[in-house]
Amino acid sequence: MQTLRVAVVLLCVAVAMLAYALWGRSGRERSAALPTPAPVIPVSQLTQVKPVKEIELDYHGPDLPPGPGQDIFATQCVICHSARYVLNQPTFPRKIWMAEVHKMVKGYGAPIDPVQEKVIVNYLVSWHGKEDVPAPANSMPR
Amino acid sequence: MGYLRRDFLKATGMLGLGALVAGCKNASIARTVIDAGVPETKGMGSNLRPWARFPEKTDLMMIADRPPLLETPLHYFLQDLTPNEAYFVRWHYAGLPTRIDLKTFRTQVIGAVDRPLQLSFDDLRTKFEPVTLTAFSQCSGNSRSFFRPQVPGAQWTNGAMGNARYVGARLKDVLNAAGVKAGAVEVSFRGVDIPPLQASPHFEKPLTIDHALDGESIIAYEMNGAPFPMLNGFPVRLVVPGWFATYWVKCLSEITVRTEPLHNFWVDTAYRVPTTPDYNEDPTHPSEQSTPITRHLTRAVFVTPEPSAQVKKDAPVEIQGIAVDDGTGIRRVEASMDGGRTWVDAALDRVIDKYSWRRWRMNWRPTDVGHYSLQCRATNAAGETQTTSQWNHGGYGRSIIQTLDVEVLA
Repeated sequence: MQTLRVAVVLLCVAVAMLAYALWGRSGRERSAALPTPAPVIPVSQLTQVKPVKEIELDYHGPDLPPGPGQDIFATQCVICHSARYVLNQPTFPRKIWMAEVHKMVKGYGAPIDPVQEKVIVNYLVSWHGKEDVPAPANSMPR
Repeated sequence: MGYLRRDFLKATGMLGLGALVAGCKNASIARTVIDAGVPETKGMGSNLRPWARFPEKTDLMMIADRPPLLETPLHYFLQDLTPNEAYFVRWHYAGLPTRIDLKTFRTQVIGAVDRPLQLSFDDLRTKFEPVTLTAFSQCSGNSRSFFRPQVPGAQWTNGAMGNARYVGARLKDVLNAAGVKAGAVEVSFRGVDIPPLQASPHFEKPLTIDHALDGESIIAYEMNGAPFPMLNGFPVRLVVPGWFATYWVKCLSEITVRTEPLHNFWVDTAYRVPTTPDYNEDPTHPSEQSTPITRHLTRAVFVTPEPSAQVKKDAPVEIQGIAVDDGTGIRRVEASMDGGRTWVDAALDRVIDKYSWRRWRMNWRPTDVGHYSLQCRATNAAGETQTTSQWNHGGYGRSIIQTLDVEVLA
């Protein structure tokens, strides 16, 4: 009899916990739901598709700042991307520009020899970069 | 002209400055609608984000022009679906397609298949069951400009993302029509964009065979009820719901079923993240282990008010945002008005679709003047939520809790 009473009490507790969990969840979802506008289902315009699509892309500049290396940048880097790709980067320290230019050679196959690589890095640092900051004397490698 | 230019590219394997000037119309000024106010001269900072209007697109923030990187202004995210003309644009090489003739365009299915296929636009539309889904997508580097220390790459703010409704053929159905041979391990995807040099790696990304056959990915031919804009992948684009846009190959022309995993620059070097939780690594000690970026991490983003907004004391402010995950399902978004000390539940809009973003909103009435740091964080059905610190050297998969600075005026 004692065992049965304990079982009944445990069952009641379990049911109460389950009910609370379900109610709590649905309550939170319900309180969070605001009336939202009905979805706008676009009407298909695929029947209007024309057999040939053609676009023309404009040149958006900017022109490259003058300086040693401008000619190499203009012939080798611009094969794949415009100068704006540099312009929109932060003014990185030299070591990051070195890594970037090297990535263009190693990863993307840019036809840039090691001498040209140095000239291009110097050119980038001259107008859109900075020299590496030496590590502070008290900084410890972690 | 597009074909001519690309034929020339192929013929020479290299495009010098002379050819560049000849191949592009020198008319930047007319297309630059609003300039960010920074003169286009040397020595400028990194915040040059002029507006530009590209073909079939509206005024977008131009991160770069060639190949185009165009970012969507935040206010377009106040709607469930991001309009095609405002949807962000990202191409890897200047050899992006500028002309497509549907009479000759084909999506090939080749490799380890019983019957190689050459599918036209109409084949994809009429020979397979059309499937409709609304899905969120974002560039792997969305929000990259917010990482500190800053990392190289497209300096996006939060607008390299969008939510759109697609119609297409299931990738599974197309692969089954070709008949996948036993022993296939991967399926890889190429578009018609052409690398500028022989040595440049063709953009190609793989999915595992199980992923490709799970019935979720589609070859979409319709975006928000219309054909795709050319810059978003006309005529067909792979849609891999829940995964970053790097897998959503545009102008999809080649599907290769493989018995060996694909190894190329785009798999082994680019688009890789640390294997650590939240793709987090120490700037002074970059992670040794990396893996290709795949699914979206759970994340909430403020849409309004916009950064550095000014609002009035005691006036109601409606805060709105979006929350995204990998398709598991956003269950909760909380916002904080005090820099993360206390959090309040935001109201979730209805679920749009499994892989869609979920929009959220809350009302706020600031009672004091001064500077407020608003924050928002999402939690999905698997319990995945957001953290307060994240950095990786590629600037990928940003999912840190966003902080929005708002000034409350008297």
